[in-house]
Amino acid sequence: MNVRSRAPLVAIVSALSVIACAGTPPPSPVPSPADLPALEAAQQQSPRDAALITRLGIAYFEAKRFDRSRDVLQSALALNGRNYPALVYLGLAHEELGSLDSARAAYTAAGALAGGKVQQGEIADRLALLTRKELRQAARASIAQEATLSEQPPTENSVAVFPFSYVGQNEDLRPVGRGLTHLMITDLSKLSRLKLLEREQVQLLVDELALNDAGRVDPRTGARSGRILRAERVVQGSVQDIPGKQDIRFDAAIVNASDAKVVASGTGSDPLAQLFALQKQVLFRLVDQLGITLTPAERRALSERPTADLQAFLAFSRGLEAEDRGDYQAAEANYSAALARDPNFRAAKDRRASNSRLSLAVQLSPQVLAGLGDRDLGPRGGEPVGGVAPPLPTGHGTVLRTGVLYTSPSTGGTLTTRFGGGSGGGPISRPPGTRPQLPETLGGDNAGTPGGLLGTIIIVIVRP
Amino acid sequence: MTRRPLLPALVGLILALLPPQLSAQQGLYTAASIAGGVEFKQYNFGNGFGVDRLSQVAFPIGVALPIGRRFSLDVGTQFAVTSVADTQGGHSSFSSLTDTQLRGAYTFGNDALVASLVLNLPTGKQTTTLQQFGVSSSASSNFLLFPVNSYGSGVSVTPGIAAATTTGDWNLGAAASLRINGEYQPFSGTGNTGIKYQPGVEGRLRVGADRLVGTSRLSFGLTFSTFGTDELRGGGLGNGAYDPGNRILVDLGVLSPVGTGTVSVYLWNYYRSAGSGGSASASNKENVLTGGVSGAFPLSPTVSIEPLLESRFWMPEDGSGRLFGLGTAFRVALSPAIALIPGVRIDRGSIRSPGATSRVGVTGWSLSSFVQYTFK
Repeated sequence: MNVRSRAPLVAIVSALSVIACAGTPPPSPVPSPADLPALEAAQQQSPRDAALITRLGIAYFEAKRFDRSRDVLQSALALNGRNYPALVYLGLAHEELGSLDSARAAYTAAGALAGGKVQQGEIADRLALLTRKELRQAARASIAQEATLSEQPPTENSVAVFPFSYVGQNEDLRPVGRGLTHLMITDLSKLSRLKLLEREQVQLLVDELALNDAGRVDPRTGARSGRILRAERVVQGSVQDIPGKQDIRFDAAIVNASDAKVVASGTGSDPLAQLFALQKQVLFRLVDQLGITLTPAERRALSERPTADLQAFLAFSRGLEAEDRGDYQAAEANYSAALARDPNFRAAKDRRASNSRLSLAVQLSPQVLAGLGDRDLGPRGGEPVGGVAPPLPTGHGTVLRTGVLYTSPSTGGTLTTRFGGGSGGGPISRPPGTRPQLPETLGGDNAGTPGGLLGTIIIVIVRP
Repeated sequence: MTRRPLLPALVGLILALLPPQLSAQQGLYTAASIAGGVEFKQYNFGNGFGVDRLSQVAFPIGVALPIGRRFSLDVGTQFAVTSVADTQGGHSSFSSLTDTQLRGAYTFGNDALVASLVLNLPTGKQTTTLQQFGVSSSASSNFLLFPVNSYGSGVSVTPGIAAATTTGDWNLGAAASLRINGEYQPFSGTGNTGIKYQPGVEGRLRVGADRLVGTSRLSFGLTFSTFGTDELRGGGLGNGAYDPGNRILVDLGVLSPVGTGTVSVYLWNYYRSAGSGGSASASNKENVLTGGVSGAFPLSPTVSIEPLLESRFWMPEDGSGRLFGLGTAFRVALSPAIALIPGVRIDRGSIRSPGATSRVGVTGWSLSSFVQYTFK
């Protein structure tokens, strides 16, 4: 018996020693700036080691020496172009250096090498975030080239809807201008003869021009912005409280970008509860003054309301405002709040879906994006950030760790999993299988009813 | 038996064939940490049960230590005091350190495979008097689930392996382990010192899967355990053998983001077939079904609340039990390195012992507080 029971022990202890010897700790996946001297020295010794050069490039990135990082990573890719982490970090370095086209090329190449849907999704999210940066960069470039752009003819039938400004003291209503802008763009884009510019594109230009509320309703400013955007016409206006009443007033005008002439205007006032009716009223006046004859189908389409719930619309508007200032987590919370009030609010649903990608991209660390960090423990599975529910863990690491927990449980492992985040750290009943194992015969799972054990030896032994 | 020496060679071969990859993820732990705390649980029983009160206070401590990027080590033990009060005013208690588990785990590839080895070090009191054994065993029920279900069970080693991969939208995993136990002397006292006990080998297999469904994560697992024959020899009890029944644990869970937090709906069912000695059944088949809803909601950037609602049903061959629990815990980040989880839970239910005709009430309550320090 003794010999038999020790044989496996010897084998396992031998196995452990083999693991210990063979498992010399490999280098950390993400080198730090402190590793730079050692990596540079190693690279001198092995100038064609692509993995080593990649680590050197990452260390330069971590040290915020982005130009050097870019150069080193490019040399690593020259040795081996199918290097996913190098491509991702190269894209990040290009982003930091403002070379957004090059960043896009690097991410696109990385996306082709992505291993699985999760990684592909992360690259797609990063590209979506990059698009925002590109729009902002384009807005700056347009302002810098204002003189040249103003000489160029506008895109035929193009319309830019400026963010409607809010005039009033009610802070809860301040974001409503964004929501109305979104509604106006959505409605006008249903008319095939008009080409609507993206709301984000216009908003970024307004941000870059640092226009105040007055500037956003000034026809001359609108015309100037329209010319920069090469839009033929600009829609601008304001929402304001009517003092002493619960009513609001909505003014909108369409301005020719070429000469700042107001070609159409619409005004209406109604109780706040009638906001959507008010928006439609102004919309139809503008369309009518533009001389557009609506077909019955177009009239029906323009009459559609996105939601009947004003609070849902206000939450949606707050989401747009948060998204515009780059706070994607707050935007997600507001879109979710809008959907909680009206699950059929399609625009909120669509917006939340697209914003979610930006939110994930912002939270994802470079290490995880490059496949060098633990996705399950990274931002996608981490603690709530900014008061918004954390996206759930993805990847197969969770399944792997649960497998270890259930087949090789240990006191230390079970204890530390309480601190892993998410639901389950509290007093939930853990299945018997996750407790340290013990023989059945003596106590443990053999116990049955506690009362039956008192003062009695319950050893299930049947004599041969 | 002759194949066992192949194991180290096989492990070495796998290690040699799978060199570290740059894209590899980390092992079981990302940072070294030490965790500990106190957990108190007590059940009071109604008239006619024979036992008035069962309680246990346990002080667990554990250390998790990543060594390099792929190797993780954790070690943990507990000190526990188990007390039993009978209806005649009698009171017995037993206290001891438990066994210590030392677990090493090596992660291969990009979270592709984990090879683990658990050493059960006999720091607990494995040799007890019959009375001590009776007291400590009273906390071993799968229905009542005390924190410590065994103080000592001798030396054992458990090599295990777990693998996972992603297929389409599904994450799939499989794991297996084999626990090999050493022989030990279970009892002290007159007439019992010569008894030797050799627990049989235990094998576990698990398959698991999860995927995102909308914004929720659905997870599923099935764990199967089977056992070799336990042998007892020497001493006044004579020789004997026992074959424990197989066990099947099925667990299901859905974790969903709700508002600013998450809500988890979970269900697990633990089935144990009856053990047998020779041709005689031990009539100890049982089934424990547990379902619950728990949540985690941030109250502030550093504090979140984790409420819980749970029910558990016990179905042995004869008798039954049910418990309905309500509890909550708070997760408090005292600093970036220190986390605290205090919790409280109350259970109410009833139990009918094997052979009894009527049910008696059970009231349980537990208090716990765990703290973790992470070395950043």
